[in-house]
Amino acid sequence: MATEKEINTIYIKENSYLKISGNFVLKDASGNVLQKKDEVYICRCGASEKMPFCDGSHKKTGVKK
Amino acid sequence: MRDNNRNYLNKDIEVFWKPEKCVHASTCYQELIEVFNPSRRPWVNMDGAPTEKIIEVVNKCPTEALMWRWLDEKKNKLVTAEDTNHIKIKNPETYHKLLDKPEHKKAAKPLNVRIMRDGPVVVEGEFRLITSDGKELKTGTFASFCRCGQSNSMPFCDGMHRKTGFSD
Repeated sequence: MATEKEINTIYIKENSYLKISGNFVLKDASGNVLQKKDEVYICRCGASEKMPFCDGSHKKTGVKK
Repeated sequence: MRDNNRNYLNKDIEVFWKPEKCVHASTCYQELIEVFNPSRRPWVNMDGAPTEKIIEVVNKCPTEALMWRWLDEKKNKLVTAEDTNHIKIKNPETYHKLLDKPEHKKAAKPLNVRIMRDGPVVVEGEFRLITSDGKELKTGTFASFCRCGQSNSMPFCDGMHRKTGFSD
């Protein structure tokens, strides 16, 4: 329900990704806007092929927490 | 102290349920069993009828047991006395307390999320942080999260990416 997302939420999925939802702007280190969407999944395991986004690689490599 | 109050949502409205206020007038389930069915759990099914019908029946509750509000705050400003069980009409005090709660406040500015090169993801702005087990870790305005998978203070960055040579 989109109406419920009035406050921005960061969700840490255990051994997996970091999900950001709400109203946000995602930029790279140089300030380029990467994405302006309602939600995004960021890699937390360091092994994604689609950095900085999660591609499910954590299933193979595993993150500690 | 944890109360037994509940709230139910559809895409338009939020319905509040305060069991201790119920006098069992039975209007709600007699008029709209598709939504208010005491023998079902949860007993309120917000998909059981159109929003207008739910509002109509909630307005007939003689007590504060059932109240409602629009999710669109602009619409709440326009309600009239005819909406007897709108939370603002029936219990203005609760309504104003509700507006002060962070989950009902609109995030003023968009979150600024930056992916640092070969480093963490840095978040600035108002947010709440939730983990897999549903726990709210904190509400904050700044955090730096590990992206290399090696931090010893997960989910936060502790600088380990430099030692491990993490690269995007």
